[in-house]
Amino acid sequence: MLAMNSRDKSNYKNSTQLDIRGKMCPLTFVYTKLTLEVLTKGDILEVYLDFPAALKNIPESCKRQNLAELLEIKEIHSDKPEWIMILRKI
Amino acid sequence: MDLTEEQINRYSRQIVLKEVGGIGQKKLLASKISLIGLGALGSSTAYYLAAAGVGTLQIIDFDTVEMSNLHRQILHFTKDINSKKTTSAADKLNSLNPDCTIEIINDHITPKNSKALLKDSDFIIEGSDNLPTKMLINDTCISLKIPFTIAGVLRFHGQIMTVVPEKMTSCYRCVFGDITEGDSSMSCSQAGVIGFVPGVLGCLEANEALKYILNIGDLITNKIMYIDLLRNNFDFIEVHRNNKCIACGDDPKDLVEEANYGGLNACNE
Repeated sequence: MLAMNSRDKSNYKNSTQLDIRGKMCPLTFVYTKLTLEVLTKGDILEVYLDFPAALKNIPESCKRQNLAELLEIKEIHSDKPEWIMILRKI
Repeated sequence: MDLTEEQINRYSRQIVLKEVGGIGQKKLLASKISLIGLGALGSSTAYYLAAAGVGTLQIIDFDTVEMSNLHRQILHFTKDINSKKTTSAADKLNSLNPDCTIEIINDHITPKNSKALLKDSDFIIEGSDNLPTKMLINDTCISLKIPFTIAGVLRFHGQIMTVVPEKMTSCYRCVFGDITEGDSSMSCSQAGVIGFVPGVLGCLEANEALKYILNIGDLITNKIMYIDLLRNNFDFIEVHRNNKCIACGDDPKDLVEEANYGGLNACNE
């Protein structure tokens, strides 16, 4: 699993990071789901990703399965398609 | 137990499902299911349960592969003729999914060994081709309080029902009574069977096991599902627990010790 403990750079305290850069759908959601399953309600998950379709697919699937809500999506680099997706476990 | 990268990839399409997820996948990997009969029903059941990642599959059959099995018993190939069905099945299932441990029992299941063989199972699937075995599995599972599913096929039609003893759902004897001796029903060898029918019913048996292990959906309990693939009919017939049933009624007997299961009582001797 690619989950990590909180980083100093994170804007969210006690968040969990998951790096799925290089993964494509549906594995992007599968890894996100497996990480969310072991978190508790209210926990923050920061997902590092680079597969554009996942920006839509992960929040939609999380909502459909009542797993998490999307808080925000941030660009990591302006010149490279990489993002951090912030989710809160429901 | 964490899932490996390979397992996440292998099971990704079912982990995606709300009803399965990583939690459900780990339950499947920790489960033990026993399968009686490696013929046509057992073929599709075994393939799908092994593929789904059931941790241990105990397969029980005494028979050897014959040419006339091959049109419907898709676990066995032409090269397997005269091989033990258990050996042939284990060969395919091990190749399909090394996560699934295959336990082979190369023997008849009889009143003498049924409890010992089945007692550690989380769920039991009956896929034999004869009524005495179906009744023995019914009685054994009720005695052990282990849930099970039974299917039967003939020509273009077949039926399936699931029994959960702890929930006191209707059992096979509640519906069919005491038909273990002087059985006048026809077998597939006499009446014929089209291979797709046991294929479909074997999948339904596997689906019942999965739903029970994951505690999801509805089981085919207190009803019989009857399918006719010639006329495309899928019907449910409601059945009720018989409180006078000698296996599961208000005054039950341990039939495994007492009943006559036709020729089965004489096996293993």
